[in-house]
Amino acid sequence: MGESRDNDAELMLRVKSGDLEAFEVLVDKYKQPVMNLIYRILPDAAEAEDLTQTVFVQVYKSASRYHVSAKFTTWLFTIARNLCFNEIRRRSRHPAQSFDALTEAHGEDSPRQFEDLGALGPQESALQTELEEKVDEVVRGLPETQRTALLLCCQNELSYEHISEVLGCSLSATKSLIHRARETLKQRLKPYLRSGAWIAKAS
Amino acid sequence: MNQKKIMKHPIRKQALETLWRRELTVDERGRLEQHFAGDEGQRLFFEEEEALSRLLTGVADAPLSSNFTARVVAAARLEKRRSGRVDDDLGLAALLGRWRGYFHRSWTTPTMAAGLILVISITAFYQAKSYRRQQLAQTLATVTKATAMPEIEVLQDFDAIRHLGRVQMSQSTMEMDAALLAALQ
Repeated sequence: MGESRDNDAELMLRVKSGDLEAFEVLVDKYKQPVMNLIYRILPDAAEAEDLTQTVFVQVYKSASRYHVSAKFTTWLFTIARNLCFNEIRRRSRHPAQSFDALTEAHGEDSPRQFEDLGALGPQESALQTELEEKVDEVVRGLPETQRTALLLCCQNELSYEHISEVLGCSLSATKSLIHRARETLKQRLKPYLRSGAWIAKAS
Repeated sequence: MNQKKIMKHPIRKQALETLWRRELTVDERGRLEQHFAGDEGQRLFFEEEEALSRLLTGVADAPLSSNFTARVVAAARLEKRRSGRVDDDLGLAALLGRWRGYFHRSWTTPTMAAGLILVISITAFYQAKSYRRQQLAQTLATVTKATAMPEIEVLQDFDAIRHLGRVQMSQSTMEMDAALLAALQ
C-alpha cells in the first residue's frame, strides 16, 4: 500500500509537469474503482461513465494544486464525491429521466451489462445475478454518506483515516457510518443468508 | 450478537475492523479462533460479517467502455493544448481581461473610488495652499513698492509726527490739509 502510494505520488508529480503517459497509467489504475463508486451513486451507467471521465480530466486540470502530502486516492475520491454532489444538485434543479431508466422501465436489459456467467450453471448464474441485483439495490438504498463510506472501505481498501478525510468527518463517525451500513445490509439480505446464497457466493 | 460487547474486546474489534476492509489472513483468523472457544454466538457473528464482506467485494464491477482510458487521455490532451494556447495568448488581451476581472470584483470598485477621491482632495488642498502663497507674495511685493521710506528730516521732527496723530479724520479735506501744513511748519 505504501509502495503504491509512493508510485501514485511519483506519477502525479510527473502529471504535474505535463506528462500524459503518467496520467494514462493513473487513469488505467483507478478508472474502475472511481466508476464503481460513481455508478452506485448515479444509477445511469452512461452518465456515471461520463462523470468518471470528468473526474479524471479534473484531476489533470488540478494537477498543479496537488501536494505529495495528500494521498492520491484520498484526493481522487474527494474530487469524485464532490462532482457526484454537483451532479445530484444539478439533477434536483433540472430533473430529467435517463435513457437507461426508460429501458429498465420497459423491461429491457441494459446494453452495458456484459458479465460473463458462462462458468456457472443456469441455476447458479441465475442465483448470482439475483443476489448481485439485490445487493446493488440495497447498497443504492443506503444514505449517501453510509454508501460512500461502505464502498470506499470494502471496494477500494482505503484506510479509515483516508475515508474520513474524503467524507470530511471524524474517524469514529466514519466507523459508525460503515457499521450502520453493514447492519442495514445484513438485515435486508437476511433471506439470502438464510437460504445459504451468501455461503454459496462466499465459497 | 451485541456488537458493543465485541467492540470492547481489542482483538475482536481489530479483527472486525479488518474484516470490513479485507479478508483475514491465516494468522489473524487463527488468533480470532482462539477467542471463539466456547462462544458459538460470536463465531456466527463473525462468519456473517465475513460473508457480507466477500459478497460486497465480489459484486461485479460497473460496466466501463473499453476505450475509456483513450477517451480520457484525449480529453486531457485537448485540455493541455487549450491551456497552452492560453499561456501563449498572455498578451494585451489577457492583461485587459485580468484588469476587467479586477474591476468586476465587488470590493475593487468602492476601494478605487475612495482612492480617487482621496488623491483629488490632496491635490486640491496643495493647489489651494500654493495659490494662497502666491497671492500673499504678490501683495507683499505691491506693498513694498508702494510704501517708500519718508524723508529722514520728517522722521527726526517728532513734533510734526505727534501733530499728525492729532489730525481729526472727521474734518473736511481742506481743514485736514491746513492742519497738516500747520503741523509741519
